[in-house]
Amino acid sequence: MSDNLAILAGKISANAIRALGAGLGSNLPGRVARKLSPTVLNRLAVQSRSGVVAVSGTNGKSTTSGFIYSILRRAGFKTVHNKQGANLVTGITATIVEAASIDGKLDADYCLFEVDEASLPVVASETPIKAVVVTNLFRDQLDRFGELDTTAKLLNKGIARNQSPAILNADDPNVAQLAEGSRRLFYGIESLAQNNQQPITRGAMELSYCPKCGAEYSYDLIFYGQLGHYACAQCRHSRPRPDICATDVCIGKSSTRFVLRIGEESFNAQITIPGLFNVYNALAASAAAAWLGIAGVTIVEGLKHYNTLFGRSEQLVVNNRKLLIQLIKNPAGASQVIGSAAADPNGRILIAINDNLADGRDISWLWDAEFEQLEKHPNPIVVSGQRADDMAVRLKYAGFPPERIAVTHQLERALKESIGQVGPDQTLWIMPTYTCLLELQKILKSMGHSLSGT
Amino acid sequence: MPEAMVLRIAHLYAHFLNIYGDRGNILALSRRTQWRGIAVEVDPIGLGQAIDSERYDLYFIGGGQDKQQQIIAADLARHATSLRKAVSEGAVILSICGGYQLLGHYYKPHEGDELRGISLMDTHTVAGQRRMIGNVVVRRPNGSTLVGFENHSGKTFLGSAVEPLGKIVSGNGNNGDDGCEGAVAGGVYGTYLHGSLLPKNPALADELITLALRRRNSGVSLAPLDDAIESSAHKRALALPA
Repeated sequence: MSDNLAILAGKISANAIRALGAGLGSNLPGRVARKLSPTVLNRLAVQSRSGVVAVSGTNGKSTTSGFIYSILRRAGFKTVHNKQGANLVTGITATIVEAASIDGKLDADYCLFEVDEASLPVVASETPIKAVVVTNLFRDQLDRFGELDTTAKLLNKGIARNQSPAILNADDPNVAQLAEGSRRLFYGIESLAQNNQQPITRGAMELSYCPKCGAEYSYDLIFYGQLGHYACAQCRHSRPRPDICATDVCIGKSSTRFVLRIGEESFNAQITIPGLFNVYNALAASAAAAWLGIAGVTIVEGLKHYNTLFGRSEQLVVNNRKLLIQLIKNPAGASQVIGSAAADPNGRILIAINDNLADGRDISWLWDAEFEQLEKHPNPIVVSGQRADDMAVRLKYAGFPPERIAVTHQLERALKESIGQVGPDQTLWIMPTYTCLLELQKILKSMGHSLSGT
Repeated sequence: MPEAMVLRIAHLYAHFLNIYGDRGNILALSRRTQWRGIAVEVDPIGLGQAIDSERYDLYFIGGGQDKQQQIIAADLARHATSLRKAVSEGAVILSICGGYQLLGHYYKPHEGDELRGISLMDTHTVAGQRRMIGNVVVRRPNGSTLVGFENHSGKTFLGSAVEPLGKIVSGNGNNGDDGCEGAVAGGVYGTYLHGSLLPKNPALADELITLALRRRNSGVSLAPLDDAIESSAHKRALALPA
């Protein structure tokens, strides 16, 4: 009875929030519903016919669960998914309440939740998690969790709660060491195509030392950050052999092709979003889907038809000018985005940095992101947001000429001025932190453009 | 200007204590020296490597995670004598957060054994109950300000043989109790400020560079730079909520 009331209250507050035009992914309806019935998430989640899949990790949670959703849809499953990225227990409750009927019934095959690392233990205690997918573990908002080791402990606790099988990134030593003693399935990148060899960058290297004995890992291959083929020379602890892997990865301007290997089978796969990090996201999703028993051909179809998410490689045309929005939030992800922008010397650039709680209040990470890649960029760079001045300092010390840095704190002005300076054959690269992205969404909406997830 | 001045920097455990953007401090020291036409050499010093105390004018040691602290503490003990000698001969050390703690007498964690420091500074640190996280503003004895971001649970206490780097204007600082932040003993500096610290506090960067250069070039002083961008960032940071 109290569940039904909780669901009704949750739905009403969700509608009220929408009517008021407040931001997406709000936690309030979930908070209201949990207040009225603390067990509402559990009672709804247990009704999913095939159980709950959780996706956690620092980067790529949203994209990975987006890929999984796309595959599950191709496979004919009905899935409840917190696709707007509200990944705390309140946001997840809000998602499931919204999907339930007023009389407390949930009609779904799967619940697919991206889950904040710190929230995994509580979500695991309330829902029957069938598998936990972990993407990677980079330093992200350290001021929130304290330290990376703390994050690993939280993930282990969440995985152990249901003795959930763990689907882990073999190439990330921080992830591959998780869930010892649980059933584990590994995914990883085996090889890049011959003409696609990338230079080794160790800029955002996080933990390059063996967790077992403290010796430095040696790498045969580094893809980015600490991700690669590693082994400890001292105790021989090394990258686990992946069960699902990509070979011959060929990264194009707007899409990436690779051979997807699932056990003995091979499939030609293609994703329509750029960047090596998205290959990892696609692999994580493929491994999860394979674990759920979905056929390889269906997985490949699902990968191919996935559409981009809010603020992740989003392209739009405003006033006949091309905009490409790429969320930045930590050194590893940002370095990848900066690299893509640097590869377009004709492009214009707008970087917007806030330091609200959702961005991470400590902006030290700007110094670990490789803005040096923009040193030779020929066009001016506009910096905006609450910490625009810090961003300007960062660019100056990256070797970018200070006279070509324009500081415009107010984001709306910065955006409009930037668009005004973009030529017809140019792209405006916009790199916002999370709350800057939310602000951009509002500004663009007032100009008649909407971002996905809205 | 003396001929071919060079500033030689040793970056201790560069690949290990690499969180919180401490790389920005090395960048600030290097760039600001180079912008004055003075050459810079930065050597990363890893675990097990030796330090040539004749060679370096400036040492930097940053912050790491708890697990790494134990490994570093054991390794750093090897360098205690050579670092002490270097400091007595005019070398400068900047230590931040975890590195700062290890230059003191000891670090006492919640559980487990005490981590021994190298007693280069008269300080000790005890694990605290809460994590002190947020923006910090410090006023130095000369009236100037420092801005940064702290993130630590260790509470550091100063003995009589060191001076605080400054007084807390906002934030927690060394221990959240006595209103002090950081420590200075001769050429040895310790602080909890990340941010990165030096790019936004160019006066402190220049102070360290000057002191370090004077080890080989007595009386040297630095030409002023155009710090408009750094000053704006500093001023904005003064007004940030703790």
